[in-house]
Amino acid sequence: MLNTLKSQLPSGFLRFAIRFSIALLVLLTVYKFYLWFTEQKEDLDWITYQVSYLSHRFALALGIADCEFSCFMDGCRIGVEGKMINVLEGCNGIKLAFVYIAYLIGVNENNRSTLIQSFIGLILIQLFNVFRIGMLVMLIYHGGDMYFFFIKYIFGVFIYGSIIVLWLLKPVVDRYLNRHV
Amino acid sequence: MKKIAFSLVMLISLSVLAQQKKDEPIMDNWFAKKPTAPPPASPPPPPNSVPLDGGLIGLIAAGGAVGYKKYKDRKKTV
Repeated sequence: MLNTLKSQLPSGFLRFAIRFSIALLVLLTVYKFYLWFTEQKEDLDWITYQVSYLSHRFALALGIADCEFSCFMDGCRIGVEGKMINVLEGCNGIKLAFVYIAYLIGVNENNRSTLIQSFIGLILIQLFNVFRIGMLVMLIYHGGDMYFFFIKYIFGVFIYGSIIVLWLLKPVVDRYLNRHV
Repeated sequence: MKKIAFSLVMLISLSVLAQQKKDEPIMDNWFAKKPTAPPPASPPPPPNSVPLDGGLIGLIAAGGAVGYKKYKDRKKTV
């Protein structure tokens, strides 16, 4: 049965699927272990804190002068009193970056290119997340339905869509990196 | 008959207890209906959380689909 399945799949896909799954599993396990470790220390994880801190700085730069920032064990709160946003562990975007990196490891053809793309992807996803949370703080501050519209549709579609487009453009990026780096 | 009546009473009282919400004060006297403790103050409403990893399974599936397409296209060109 396994041989029948193998013969029907494009060659190399099974190898990709196994590498993709294992890479994702390893990254998520290491992250879970890190989260458990910070929980034991009764501390907030560094990634969530940094994303929250930078989002707060961005919100201040957007003109919300009385924007407050406070952190607890489960996450950080950013915004004006009564209109706060709760940045929890699931809001830091690191898991999306792990899926992006796992794909790159799955189709790994050039270690150097994979490493560069993983690093740039991780930074871009985190920067976009900081931008997203800063914008959401501003939108909730000004009120109206735009906050719900942006959180539910715009940002989600943009970031998930960007990751898929980056995967599709990987051969182009690989060629560019091989030529110029 | 006594056993049936007892079972019925137990069953009804259990289902009544099950319907009682956690926040509701516990009644010490069924006839007096007086709460033993004052109801706790309601906690402040939690602020809006902004999760991003809600569609993680979908993204993993999309990764698999993009990989499948990549290897299928490669098979055609070879």
